[in-house]
Amino acid sequence: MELVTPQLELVRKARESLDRGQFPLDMLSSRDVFEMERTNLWPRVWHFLGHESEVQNPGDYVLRYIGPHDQVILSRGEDGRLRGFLNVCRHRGRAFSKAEKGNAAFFRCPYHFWTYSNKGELVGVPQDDTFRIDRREYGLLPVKVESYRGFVFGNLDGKADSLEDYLGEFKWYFDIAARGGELEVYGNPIRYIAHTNWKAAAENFGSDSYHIYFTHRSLYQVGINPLKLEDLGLSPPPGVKKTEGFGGYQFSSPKGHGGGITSFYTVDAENLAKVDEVQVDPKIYEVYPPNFLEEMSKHLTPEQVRAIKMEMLTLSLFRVRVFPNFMIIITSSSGAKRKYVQYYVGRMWRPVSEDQTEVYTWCFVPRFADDEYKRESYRQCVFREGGIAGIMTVDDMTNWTSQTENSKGALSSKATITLRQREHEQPISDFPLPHGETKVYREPSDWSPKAMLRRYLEVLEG
Amino acid sequence: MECREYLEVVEFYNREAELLDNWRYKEWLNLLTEDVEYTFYTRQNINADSPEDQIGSPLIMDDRFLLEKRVNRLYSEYAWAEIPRSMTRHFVTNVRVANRAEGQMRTLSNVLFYRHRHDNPYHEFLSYERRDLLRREGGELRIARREIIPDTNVILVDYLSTLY
Repeated sequence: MELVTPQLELVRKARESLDRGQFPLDMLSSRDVFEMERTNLWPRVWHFLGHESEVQNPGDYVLRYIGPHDQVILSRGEDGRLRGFLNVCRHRGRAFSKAEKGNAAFFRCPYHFWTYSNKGELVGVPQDDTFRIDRREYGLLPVKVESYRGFVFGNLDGKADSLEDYLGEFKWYFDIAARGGELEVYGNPIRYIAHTNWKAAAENFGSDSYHIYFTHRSLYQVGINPLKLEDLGLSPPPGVKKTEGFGGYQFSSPKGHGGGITSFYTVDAENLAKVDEVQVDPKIYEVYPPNFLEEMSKHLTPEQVRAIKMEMLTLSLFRVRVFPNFMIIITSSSGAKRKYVQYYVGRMWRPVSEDQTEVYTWCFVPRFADDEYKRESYRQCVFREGGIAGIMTVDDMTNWTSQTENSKGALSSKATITLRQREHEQPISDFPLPHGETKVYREPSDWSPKAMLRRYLEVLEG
Repeated sequence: MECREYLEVVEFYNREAELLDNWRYKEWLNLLTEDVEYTFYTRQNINADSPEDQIGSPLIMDDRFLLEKRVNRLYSEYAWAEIPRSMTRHFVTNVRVANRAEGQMRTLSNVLFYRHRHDNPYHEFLSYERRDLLRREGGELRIARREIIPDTNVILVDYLSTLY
């Protein structure tokens, strides 16, 4: 006999709802869903922990979280290897580190001074003649950690496919956002806890270009919108047509990853072919670091470099979401001291309760850029959407906190999130840079959030 | 330092708080110098000998150009985070004049910022230190530098949509 728990019933209903282009609002902050995520979602996924540039030297460590409660120490051992451990002493279960980062040869639990190397081995037990234990069996509890293009992810249950398999064909897109592995973190992540469920934020930040012109309309009023070619006095390459409002392409992977190119221009096979011939105007290099394309050519395939060149020629926004809760968005913006820069926002959303989420923001910069470029890129990152004071973040957050509040009502929770934009459209066939199983749709569209939520429900069901 | 000068500094901060809490943000801009640098730092929960060593990278690093954009945006009919506007109060205390030189002085003060918005069933608080460089311009005090150092590494308000 199949045992259907109330939680699994919720998931089934949500799946049926999703088939009709809707996602039940009560899936956001129901306690049952939170509990199911705690046991079924967070342990199973590859969860972003941090960037290699944050733990560069032997002994460097950062304390990060997976899901609401699991504390993971990401440690660079003396041998230079990155490892993940639960922040749990094997003696009585106390967290041995309370600092969010540092450099340590050893971790010593304050409770009874059990001591571990930065490779996780138990190396010291006071009054050890009172224990008849094999120390090798009492090393720190490992968390599976893998790194791709400098981005380090952890998997709690240790059963996930390799990180590269988890990303699958979507690596092709991730590589572009990761600039071939040539990014580094500027400063430290900005952390805040807001009254929103993580899914409201993750669905929007990774997929929704539809809201830009409405939620963020104030930016257009005061002239701080994302940079357009016209702002530089440039026109698009030959044959590239302007779209009505925001257009572009949305990527949707069945593994739940997604992203897109948000653009004012249409890129098809015909005009992409011309990209190779077109020179990048020096004015574009007021936005990008010098030698940007040459640097990219060292790390990416010619096809990927071509996609980046098209991004440059049209000043498009590029974004990726790694299932379920990590995103990178790259935007060109007008700057301050340096006139124009691109900024790179990385965000991870971690639930702390069913209706509160800790947001981590990393501002990435190309490591080969000069100091001034990095600084101005960071300044724009935090001004616009990098942290809790970003002029875009603040308006986004009112959407997410409000959706979360409505997801709790007796009746209002029965409302749904409508995901029907372009549901009548098929994946486009003329996108010049298709890749593997990742489907590409015209922006704006709800195909990508739907795929993410479908994958989410699959993982919950196990 | 003379009592009168100290009073002038305290009055300056009281007037500034009054402008901010009454949403007179454009008038607040008049209290800043042209070359103002307004920096809101993160604080990191790390082992350190002094709070100074816990200061992380900024979450706001505005110059005058960006501050004006930030302020002007609040007057847009589409600045949703502030529609309706947050109810705020800046409690500025422990004002210290740390360093005086010709025409300028460094000050330290403590601020407790309170905010309520949009029917929320909770209060929002933020405690921080201000480190200012005040400069005298045309007889009036102006803010040339402001550094804000919060007393938390994880900011526990939904968002920072006004000025601090």
